[in-house]
Amino acid sequence: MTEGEDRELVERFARGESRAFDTIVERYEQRVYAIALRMTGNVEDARDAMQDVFISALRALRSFRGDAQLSTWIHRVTVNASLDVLRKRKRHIAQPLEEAGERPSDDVGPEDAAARAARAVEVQRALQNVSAEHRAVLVLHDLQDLDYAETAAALDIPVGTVKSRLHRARAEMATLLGHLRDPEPSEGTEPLKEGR
Amino acid sequence: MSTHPDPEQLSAYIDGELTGADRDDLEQHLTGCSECSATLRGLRATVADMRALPSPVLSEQDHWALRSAISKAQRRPGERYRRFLVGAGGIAAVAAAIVGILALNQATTSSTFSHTGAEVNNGDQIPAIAGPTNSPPSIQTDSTNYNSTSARGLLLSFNGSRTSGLPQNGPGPAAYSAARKSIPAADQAAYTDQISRCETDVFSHGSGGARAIAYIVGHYESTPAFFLIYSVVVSGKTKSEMWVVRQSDCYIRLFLAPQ
Repeated sequence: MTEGEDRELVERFARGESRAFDTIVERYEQRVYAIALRMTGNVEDARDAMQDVFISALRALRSFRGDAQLSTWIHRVTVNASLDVLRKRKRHIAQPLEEAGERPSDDVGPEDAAARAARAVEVQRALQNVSAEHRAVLVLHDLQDLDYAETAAALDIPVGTVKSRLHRARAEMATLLGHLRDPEPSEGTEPLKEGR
Repeated sequence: MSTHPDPEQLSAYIDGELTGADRDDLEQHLTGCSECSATLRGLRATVADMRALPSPVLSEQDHWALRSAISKAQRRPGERYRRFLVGAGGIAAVAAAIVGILALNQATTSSTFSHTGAEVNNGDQIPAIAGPTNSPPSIQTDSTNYNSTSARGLLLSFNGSRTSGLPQNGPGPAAYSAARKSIPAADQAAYTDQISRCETDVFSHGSGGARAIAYIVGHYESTPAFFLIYSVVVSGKTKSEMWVVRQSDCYIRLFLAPQ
């Protein structure tokens, strides 16, 4: 999916060609859903956020200016829509995300798959426990493979802020996921912070 | 051991964002600092755990729910839509409509997406719309529940006596999904795009709302087809519509005005 193709689709849509919007949806729905799911941690909220994103796009893209990238705009709106949905949510306990409905790997046996799914649940839980701004950089950079500059553009923050947030977010995740780690195998290592 | 580097450098190092002297200095430091090495290992393991998360897959149901929500948000009455009114005694209108329908039907035989329709306002006379050969269309439905052999019969079976109203509840995404799956797997993908376009148009011209009533798989003039029957509110009036979706086209076969 290239920037030039995106620009052309947006222009066609702005000229009144509604099918161009269908193509935009086809291009981005999986990605929007993936970001929304990891940001919100549950399927129901991710669906709501995804609908909000594309309904917003329907209105905004008619007057979308060519100086911003469509992908950057969609990433930003998706993060914001996910946070809005979380804010509006009245439920105090979110349905935990089950990883069963997701794309299976063909190269693992059932036991590995079960262990991997259990680990994925732990990782998603940890992700829900870091702050929203930290989660956003983790989702965009580490899960969606955006680089520092793209992450910065999507979140409208300086690259330096992405770097520092990313590091603090990973450090937080590392602490939250510490129980998943095997005891340190190599010699001469000591705990990072000794409590006593 | 040198002074510990800024911890952010460790993350940047993992991301390949450290270059030249900065990277060399950090690597040098790591060889002698077990604390930073342990931190680096922890960060790497965390990044690996996150990247091992499976990619979420949008279900087919969510996919169509999204399409439907977009269509509702986007509907603009009358857009790209032509209809022909056949009023009681309106001979000239009928003649004009038939000419128009024939022209449009020719268009539907090409690979473009187009519509034909006839709106019937008078009594029980519901003519089959003339096809290119001016003969009634042949309809074969695969489900034993819907065994009508004409567009009119099929539509009427979902519209009762025309005064009894429409079913209260539409079939919903699960029924849609099930109907679609009854199309041979090899053909399913070919219908998806047309169905999507069809639904977009159904919802876009129904200024007062649209609701799916039935999804039926069968054949239309010997070609595998998907019949979509909708209740659509236009200008405050509810109509039933039957759309025929084939691999190459999607168009209204018949729609029925309320009394």
